[in-house]
Amino acid sequence: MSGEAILRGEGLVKRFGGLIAVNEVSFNLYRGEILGLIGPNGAGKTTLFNLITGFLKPDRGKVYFNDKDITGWPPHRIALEGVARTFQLVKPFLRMTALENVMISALSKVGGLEEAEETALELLEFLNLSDKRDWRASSLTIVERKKLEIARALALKPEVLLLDEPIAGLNPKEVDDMLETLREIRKRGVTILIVEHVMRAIMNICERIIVMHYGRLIAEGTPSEISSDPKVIEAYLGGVI
Amino acid sequence: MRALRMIKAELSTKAGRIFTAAAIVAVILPLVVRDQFFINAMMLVYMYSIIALAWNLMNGYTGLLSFGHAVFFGIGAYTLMLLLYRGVTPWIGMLLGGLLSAGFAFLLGIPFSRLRSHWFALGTLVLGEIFLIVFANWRAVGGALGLDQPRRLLLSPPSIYWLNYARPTPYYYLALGILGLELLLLYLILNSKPGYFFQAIREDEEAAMASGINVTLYKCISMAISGFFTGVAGGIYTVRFGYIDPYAVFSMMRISVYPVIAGLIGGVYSLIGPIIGSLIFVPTAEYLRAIVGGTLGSRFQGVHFASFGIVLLIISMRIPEGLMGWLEMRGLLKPLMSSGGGSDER
Amino acid sequence: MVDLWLLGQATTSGLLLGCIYAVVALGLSLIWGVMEIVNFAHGDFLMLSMYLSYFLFTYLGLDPLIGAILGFLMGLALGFIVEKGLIEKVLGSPPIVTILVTFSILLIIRYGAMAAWGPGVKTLHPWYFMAILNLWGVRISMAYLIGALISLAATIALHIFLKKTYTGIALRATSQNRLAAELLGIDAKKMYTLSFCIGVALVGLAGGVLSTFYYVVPEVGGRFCLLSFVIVVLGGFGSLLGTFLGGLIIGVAEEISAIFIPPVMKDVVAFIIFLLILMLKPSGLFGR
Repeated sequence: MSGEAILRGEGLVKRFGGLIAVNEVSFNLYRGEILGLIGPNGAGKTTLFNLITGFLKPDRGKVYFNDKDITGWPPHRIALEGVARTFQLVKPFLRMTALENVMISALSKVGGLEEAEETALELLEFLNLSDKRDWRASSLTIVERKKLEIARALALKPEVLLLDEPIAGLNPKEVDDMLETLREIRKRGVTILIVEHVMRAIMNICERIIVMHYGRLIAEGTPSEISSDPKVIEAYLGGVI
Repeated sequence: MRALRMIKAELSTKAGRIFTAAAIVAVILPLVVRDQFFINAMMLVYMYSIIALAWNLMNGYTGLLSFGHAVFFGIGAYTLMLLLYRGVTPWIGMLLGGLLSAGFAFLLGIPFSRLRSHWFALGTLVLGEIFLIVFANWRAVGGALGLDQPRRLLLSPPSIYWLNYARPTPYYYLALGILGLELLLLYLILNSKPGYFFQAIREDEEAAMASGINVTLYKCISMAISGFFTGVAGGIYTVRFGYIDPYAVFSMMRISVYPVIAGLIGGVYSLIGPIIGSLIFVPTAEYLRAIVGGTLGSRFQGVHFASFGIVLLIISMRIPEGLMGWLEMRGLLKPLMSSGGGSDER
Repeated sequence: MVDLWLLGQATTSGLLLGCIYAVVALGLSLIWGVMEIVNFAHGDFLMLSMYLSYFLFTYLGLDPLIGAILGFLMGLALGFIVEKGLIEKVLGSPPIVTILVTFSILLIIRYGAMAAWGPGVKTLHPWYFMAILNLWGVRISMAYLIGALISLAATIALHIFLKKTYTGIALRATSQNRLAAELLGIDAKKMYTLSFCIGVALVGLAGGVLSTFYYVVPEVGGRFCLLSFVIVVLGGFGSLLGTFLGGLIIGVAEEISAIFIPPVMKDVVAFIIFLLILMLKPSGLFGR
């Protein structure tokens, strides 16, 4: 883990009417690390994701990527700049094949169809989806769709990958596969910020964890520090850590 | 070239062979059939096919349902006619009409791209009404009475330069030629980057944004292409009939709704669907108008258009995937140039 | 320099007219808010109600305000039949299907009316059609005034219904979060039917009111569909207060612009306002 923060959030605030979803959140994501973002449901994690990736504009605060102010940029521009994301409820392009799905993102980065196809094929291979490349996304299982979504994000050749609950719904074997894949992704030079509920996975793979509760950041530290932090335990009200 | 390989592959499928046969028939038809009414009817089918294809680029391929394509048609029609008054050949008139429509469509996309599907559709419907009102009250372009072609054209001998023929046959080939060109161009576009992006937008706009697509820009592009061909179709109408008025060229029922019904009958997820739909719907509608219209008189229009509504209702509730979609689902035929490839193995 | 008095006159008329327009748009907004569909046939249900009032007045001598009440009831019944018979069946489908279904209904109603009653324009003139009230120098059309009062009453009744009654609150809950509402035991299907019925009923009421001074013709639905659309976008999708204010704004804009431009073009003004709103503030004035 190097000292520079590749992605930074400063004082981010987001309100929906009377509800304050993100309340003065500041965070650092360091190049090369795998950072976990946890918190009870409704803590504001996905909202924070949306603020970072441009799907929502913050009421206050800023987001910096490589020291560039990307606050308020449209989502596609942020994606092209180097911050890619997946969605909690996967959003595949259903009528298109797996290969075409990944090619879409690849095409955003490179001009030609051939190059895009190459990139897409390589990524499908990397995520073990090669044999499904000509299958319509609507025919894929939920696990395959999750992997497809990651492949699609990686086709943007991002420096940062934001994963929104990639592990939910997977069986233990699939979880291990996914964790291994994430490690491989990091080896390729991608910094990862992952939101998850499955504790064993988070503890396993993240070097650092930040915890949100009612829109605020309540704790930050290593997995062992977090699991013994009384504030965190209280927030989960006896949830399994 | 990759494109040529793809076209060859497409044409060697079962559907492709049927298409090639049909295309050959279409080209030699006027040499074999003498009935001018029939030739004229086929010309109309091609003209409506041009609109339906263009409409479907927006709807079936980009997810933008429009009830206002008459706007693009009318702009094309008026542009050609007004340029004709200034002594400009209709060939240029058609091109400029298409370009003007395209430009307008592109600009329209900027505010309209924010509208979600329902509101977008309603907005286009409303736009059509607005154009009708404006042109019907705009005396400088003829107002409610419309515009006749310049008299000297009526008196000049027919020429390719002025496209002022008396028989329908030249217009038949004009429409057929443009339809062929449109089909080719759309096929190439849909198998290139913009085409992929359009379909991604149709499938899921947010995911498209997350994949680096400037959704607003590509929606505008889709609309511009769609507007271009529809505008050209308006030009074809103008040279063929030599007279235009706002109630004809900005007509919601005659111009905007026809491609919707044709597209739905034929199937919106392929390029060939709207053409098949036009082939089925247009002659039926026009035939009914000629036969039944006479007996019912002024009340007829109501019955005629209400029946469109019934047809639309039945199709959208029973077979929204259209004829081609139905054939595809039953494994009988993979329609020519269909969107979204791959197999559904499960 | 425009005559200030004329401006004041137009504003007053506009506010009254706007109340009536608002009721029409409220129906559309309610249906959209709860069901997430646009009722393309909205304006044409209005047209049917106008014809109802016309026939009741012409053949039975019934005052169109009674026609308005009967129109309201007819709206409830018609809305119920259409929703349960057609719309409910396609609610799970992709948007294009529901759009096409309500659009088909538009065609069937509009052109069915043309087939049944002919394309001619009809008018009905109750005694207060020509009556003008003179309030502090401002001339107010009696028909507008009565129409506005009824519309205001309907709006307030709707507001109370939505805010104070259990059913109304259930309706609002469904519009905000269907899943959560269902978890609370609310039957979403019943809510859909209810919202559609109320939406069409409102338009039934407005039809009776409008028939007192507006022309009755099969295509009249198109115009109100346009106006409602602009009003809902103006007021913000999902905001009833916004929609009401949007109605007032459009009413005033229409009356004022009539001073400067030929009356046929007033719809164009409304549409331009709509385009400006879309370009500057996509969610309208108040909406989410």
